[in-house]
Amino acid sequence: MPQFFMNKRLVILLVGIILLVALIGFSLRERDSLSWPEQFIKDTAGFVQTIVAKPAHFVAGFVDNVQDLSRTYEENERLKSRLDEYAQLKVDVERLKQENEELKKILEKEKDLASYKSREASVIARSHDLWNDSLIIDKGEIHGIKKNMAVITADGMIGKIKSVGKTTSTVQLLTTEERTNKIHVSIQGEEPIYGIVEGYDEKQQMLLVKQIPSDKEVEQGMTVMTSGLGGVYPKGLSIGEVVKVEADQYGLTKTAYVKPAANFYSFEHVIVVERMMDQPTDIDESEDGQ
Amino acid sequence: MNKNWLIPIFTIIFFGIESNFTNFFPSFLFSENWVFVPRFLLIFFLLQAIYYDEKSAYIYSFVMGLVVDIVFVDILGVHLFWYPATVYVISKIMKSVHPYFIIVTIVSLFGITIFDFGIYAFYYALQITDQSVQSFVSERLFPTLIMNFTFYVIVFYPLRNYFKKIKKQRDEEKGMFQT
Repeated sequence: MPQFFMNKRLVILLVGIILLVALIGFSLRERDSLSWPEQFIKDTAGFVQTIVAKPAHFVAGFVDNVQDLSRTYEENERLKSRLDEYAQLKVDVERLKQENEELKKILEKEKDLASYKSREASVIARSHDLWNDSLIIDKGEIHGIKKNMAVITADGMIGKIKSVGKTTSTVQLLTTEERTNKIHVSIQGEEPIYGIVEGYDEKQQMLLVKQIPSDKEVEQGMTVMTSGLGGVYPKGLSIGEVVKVEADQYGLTKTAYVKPAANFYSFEHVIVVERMMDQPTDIDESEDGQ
Repeated sequence: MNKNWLIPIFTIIFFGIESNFTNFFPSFLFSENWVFVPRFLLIFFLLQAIYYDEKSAYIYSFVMGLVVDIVFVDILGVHLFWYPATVYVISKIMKSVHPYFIIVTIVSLFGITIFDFGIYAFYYALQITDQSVQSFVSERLFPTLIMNFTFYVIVFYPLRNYFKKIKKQRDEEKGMFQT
């Protein structure tokens, strides 16, 4: 036995492995907030990342502008053809908005599931390996960001806030394969059909919407948006479009393959969305997020 | 003049580039399923261990592993373990071979392979990914190796010259104290 302890290298290795396992176990458990050393390191790293991100955004923006220029003619033609439609649509939207507000006033109802408050943020980093795909944005606790807020781009929803530091926060993308990544959605048919986003098909690059009742007709091309019923996200954030539908293993429910509305290749600016409606207190049992 | 202070600066710069790389690299130009993972910090640590000083490479790789874990992974111990482990294996291998460019290149790419497989093994064990080994090799490892090789070729000579220079300086200073 003493000989065993004489072998210094072996002891160091063993202690190291034990510490490593303990560390992984410690950090794997569900945590409500980050410890202050973690926050400090994140914020400091965020400062460095911002310095690199700013010029990168500038160059990327310039390239985009040049690409836009080369496509101007084509786009202009297309836009012209939609312009007439647009004028009518705008009038309709204004009218409906007004009507909606008036009706709400009559009911004395200020907030509904769809109302939200939005905050702009810039992306300053993205995880290297896309296994736990996450973004880091330059807004944190002092800007009012909280855990589990939804994050969207102009095209649609991209994820949720996973953890918050003082001046930075981490966004977990929808494409991450994690069991806690569930969103209650509605598919816009003649009447809304409810399902839950559960997982991402990496090969086909599509989101899986599961637990759709098998007697509901889901068709290709239907739009999918958050339902607001999960208790965390506001209603009406665009998720994507149904591409195909499959019956699940036992034929009790259906699974829809949904092409995300947002582009997941590259992000520059995102919008963090805060739900105005109160969250249910037993948040742990709701579907969204937790 | 002692130029040791450039090492932390380089580390910070490579960290910043690595953080923003995935967001801006147009990987869809090559193939939709390919994933290019930047391993610039690892290349830097390997060259540091080979041409300058093993011990300082351990310290830097350990600290940066911790930072990367906290900032990106939220699971402490993944990069924290594999950065120093890879540096250890590679510097052991380099002790028995000559540091020609070709050999150092092959050994460094081997180091990236070890590192990527190690991270993959951890993630697989923790059930963060369920990718098969075949698709991991064809969709992640090869693109990653190709991309990092390009980067490696660009930075190899400047970094090697820099590390050799500060090593020479350090040895001279040591010699001065001894006499």
